[in-house]
Amino acid sequence: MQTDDSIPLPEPTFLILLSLAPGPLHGYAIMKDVQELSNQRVELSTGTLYGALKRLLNQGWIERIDESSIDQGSRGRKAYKLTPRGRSVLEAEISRLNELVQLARQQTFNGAA
Amino acid sequence: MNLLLAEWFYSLLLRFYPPKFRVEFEKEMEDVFWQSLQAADSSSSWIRLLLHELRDWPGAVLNAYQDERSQDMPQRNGFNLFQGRVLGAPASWRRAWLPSLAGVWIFILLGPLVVASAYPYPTPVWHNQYRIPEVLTILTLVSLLAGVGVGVWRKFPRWCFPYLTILVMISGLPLLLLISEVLLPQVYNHSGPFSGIFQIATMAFSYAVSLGIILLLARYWRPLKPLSTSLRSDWTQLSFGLFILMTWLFGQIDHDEDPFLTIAVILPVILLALGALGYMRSRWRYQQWLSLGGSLGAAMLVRIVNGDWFYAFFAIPLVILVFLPPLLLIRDQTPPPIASQ
Repeated sequence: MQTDDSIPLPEPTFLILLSLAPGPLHGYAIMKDVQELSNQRVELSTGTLYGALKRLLNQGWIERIDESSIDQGSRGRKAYKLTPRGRSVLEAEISRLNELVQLARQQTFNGAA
Repeated sequence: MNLLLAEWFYSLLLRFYPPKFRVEFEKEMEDVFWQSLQAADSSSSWIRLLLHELRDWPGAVLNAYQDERSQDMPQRNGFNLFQGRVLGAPASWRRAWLPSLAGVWIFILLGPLVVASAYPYPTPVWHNQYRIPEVLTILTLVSLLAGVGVGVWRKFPRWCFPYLTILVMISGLPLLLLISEVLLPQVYNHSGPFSGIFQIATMAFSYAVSLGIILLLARYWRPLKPLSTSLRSDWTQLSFGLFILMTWLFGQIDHDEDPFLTIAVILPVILLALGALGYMRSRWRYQQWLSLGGSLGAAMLVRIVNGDWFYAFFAIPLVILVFLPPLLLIRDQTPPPIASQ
């Protein structure tokens, strides 16, 4: 698995993977979710979103599913879901960020003490 | 109405993405954009949305091409607007030169012909002594007939489109005469501060009607079907055809204010011929656009620096004339078979 080579992840990629962690979403929902997760700080344009989705599809971190399988009123729209590989990459990135935050806290509080 | 306009503009932006990307995501992207537009609660919101898309668009397009390039190159189908490998581009470098030279030849002749026919002042000795305008006229006519003939025979390869454009211009002359002399002489001969614009508009209308008739014939009249097939497989050929008009336009000498044959007249004509050569030699769609757009921009710059503000005034219409028709006409994703160059 390429997990170690792939991280750190660019912020939009991380947020997209994070938005897909609870379950499959279609493009517009991902865009809104990323905006919400980042507290309105990251606003993806459609070009950036689909460029990232294409790369994630090529890397096998996400897969496309027919959204009608999860929502009957969706007229065959496409949705995206994390693959096991994508989930491992996301978890690896979260661990890395956690370690960084812990390190920062230790350094800051030790320095202050 | 505004939303429809925004959607139309957005669909225009999408046409610059690589073809495989468009096949995969275009519809989804349009859906998402449409949903965002509908969610925008005021006119300022959708303008902001459009500006946001516009800001990210160049980077997104370049990234999409970079990603596509790093993937399987032999799978490119060559029909894309911006980068795809040019259909029918000959594999052999040597074989490629003949059609390239054929494409540029008419530029090499027409540029000097326009300049020489303008009778620059002071008239050089060699100008009349060697009958330069007459020789160039005969050479251009012979080349034009040969180019059109061979082009029809070879089922309209890329190089013949500038020749066809000149033919369209000539075929528009009767209509121009009809309008300017019989139907609407008061419009064509309108005197006033905008008289030049009335004349140009009448000419543009006549040529547009001729072009429209030929495109319709190509669509529905069997003998001209190969023209339609060739154009539909690569609409940039229409730009290349219209590009020859720039040579005519940039070779003009201003008899009222600056009646001299200067480097500012000669250089743009040379730049445009080089742009045509670049177009013919390009293997990728973005190189073709760069060749035409770059040389047109450089030619314009030379004339503007020289103080010919006429060219600055017409810069946007000129760019629209050359580049918009193919942008509007590109529809299909799968190209029909095309005859080789």
